[in-house]
Formats: sequence, structure tokens, C-alpha cells
Amino acid sequence: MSELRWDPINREWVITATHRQNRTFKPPKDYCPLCPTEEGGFPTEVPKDYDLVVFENKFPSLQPSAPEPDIAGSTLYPVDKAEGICEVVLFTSEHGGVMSKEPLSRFVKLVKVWKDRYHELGSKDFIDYVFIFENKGEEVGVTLEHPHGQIYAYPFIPPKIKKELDSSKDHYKEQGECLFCNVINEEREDGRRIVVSNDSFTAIVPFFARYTYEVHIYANNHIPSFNQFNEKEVEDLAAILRTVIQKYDNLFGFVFPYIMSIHQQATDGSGEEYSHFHIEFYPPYRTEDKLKYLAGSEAGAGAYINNSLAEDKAEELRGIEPTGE
Amino acid sequence: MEMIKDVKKKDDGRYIIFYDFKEDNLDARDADTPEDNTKERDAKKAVSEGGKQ
Repeated sequence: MSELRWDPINREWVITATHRQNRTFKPPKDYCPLCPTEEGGFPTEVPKDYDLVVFENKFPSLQPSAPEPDIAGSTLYPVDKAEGICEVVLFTSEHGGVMSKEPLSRFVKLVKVWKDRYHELGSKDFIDYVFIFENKGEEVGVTLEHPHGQIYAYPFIPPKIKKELDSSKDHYKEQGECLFCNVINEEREDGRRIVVSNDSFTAIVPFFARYTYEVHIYANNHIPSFNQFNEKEVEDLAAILRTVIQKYDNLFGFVFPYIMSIHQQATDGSGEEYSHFHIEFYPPYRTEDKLKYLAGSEAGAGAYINNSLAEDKAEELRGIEPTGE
Repeated sequence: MEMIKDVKKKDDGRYIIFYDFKEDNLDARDADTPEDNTKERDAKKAVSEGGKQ
């Protein structure tokens, strides 16, 4: 059972999805539902070997034919159907695959798949935002270790993204320029927070980083979404993504967990002039053996406290070799 | 690298999309042409100079 419940205090939708309590939780390797089904083996989500695969989530928070809300709403508490689409993206058929060791071609394939899903899901009338993300590592709550990501196609623009798009919209009205273009131009001019860059993208530790090893990858030029990517930009994104992940994995010598989220233009037709494609990484490790928890100030007040300086962490990450060995 | 999509239905009605690719020599090119680190070098220079004030 799932539905949308309006929070009038924070002015945002909350999705209830009680059926997700029963989703597959850390199965043993031989029972991984994301591996290809083996002859005589138990049936997984994918009946044959594959390169990259996308399928509808078995335990979706949002559904194309969502049921009516189970509870009656009110003027104060509106409710709505949890309409949308949730997909799972399998990066490789190898259960123990490590992306930082994969060749560039696998990243190019992945970017092409993301681009295709953004376009297809975003062209549906009831989808306002296509959110592509990856939760990586037990530390961020991953329940299946097989390399995969997810896509949530929402019937609304999610609050964190709406806030940043509203900021850029206001900036555009005042300055006549995209806020994100201004940010990346300033970062490229300054240089202190750059981790790596290529012709089309720049990876930085943001000036206002909330996490110790937070990295954002921005398009160098004004590209609102995957829909405007050319072949060169697909390859350049794949290359910088691979480099950032390799640096992460080489930082402390273990596969570095993170939450990765792709921010781009809403698919409701708004904001081409002020939306700007970028990827944000939020890694939970603040040192080799210490995690950052969202505690009182962060969870209770929304005020993040970062125990490090973006300039220092960018320098540290710049010094890490981007190799997959 | 050309992408080929094959959309199937699962027994429970959910779709599953198999993506296959006609490989090119991208990885060979990758080895030959490492990404442009000009800005990284610039950044190092900026750091040594204390960055933009």
C-alpha cells in the first residue's frame, strides 16, 4: 500500500510505502535476485545473462497504476495517489563487480542507459521529475550488494531539487544567468576545489560541502539534462565518473560507499534556462574508519556541520591516483 | 557505440529491458588518450599560489 501524504508544515509530499518493509534484505550471494538466473538455479529477476538491464522495481514506492489513497485526506492534510515509476538499473551481471575496475566502455554504456531512461520516462505525462541515483555500500543502507542503481520517476519535483531549481530560477530572474553556470565558472577560475576535469565536465568539492568527501560533477557548459547530451559529452561524463570513483576507491583502499544523485531539468517542461546537469556524491566516511552521522544539528535543524575544509579535501582527492588496479 | 534495446514482459507483468551494445574500440582509445587534466594542473598551480583572492 502506498500513497502521498502532504506535510503542510514543510510543504512537501511524503510517500508511504508499507509493502517495502518486506523487500529482499541482504540475501546470500547464491540467492541474489539481481544475478542472471542459472540453469537449474532459483529464478532471479533476470532470466538470462546480460550486459546492462533495467526493470520495474518489485517493491515500488511509486506505481504507474497506483491505487487510490487508503486514508481520506482533509484540507489541512491532502492525500494523493503515489503515481510514478520505480526502476532498477543493473550495471553488470557480475555479482562481485567493482565499478572502479571496469573499463571506460561500461561507464559509457551506463550513461547511455541513463540517458535513454531519462528521455523515455520523462516523456510520460504523469512524470514531472526523473531522478537517477545510486546507493552504494552497507553504510548507506544498501540491501542488495550486486552493483546497481535506481530511478524514481516522480509525479512532482522532489523538495531538495525544487529548492535548488527555485534558487536558480530566482538568480536567473535577477542576473539573467544560470546559477549553476556561475558556480562552475567561478570554481574553474579559482581552481582550489577542483578534483579533476575534462572538456565537458568538472568535478569539485563544493565550497559549501556538507560531507567531508562530497564531490559534485558539473557540466562545463549550460546543459539542462541528458536530452541535450551529444556523443562527446556522453563519453566525457563516463570518463570523469570513472575517475572520481577510482579516486574514491583508492583513497583508503576499500570500495568507497556513497549516495550518488543526478540533478537535471524537470520533465514538466519548466526551467531549461536555469536547470544545469550535475551529479552529487555524498560519501558517509569522514576518515578511514569514522562515519559521519546526520545527528542533532543536521537531522533536527537542517544545519550541516562539516569537520573539514573543501579546499583541503579537493587537494587530497587530486593527489589520489585514478587507477582501477 | 550503438545501443540495442530489447523490451520483455515478466510473468507478473513488469517490464524488463535488456540493453546490448555494438562495441567499438573505446577502451583502446581510453588507454591512448587519457582525459584532459589541464584544469587539474591549473588547480595545483592555483593551490601553490594560494588560489584566487
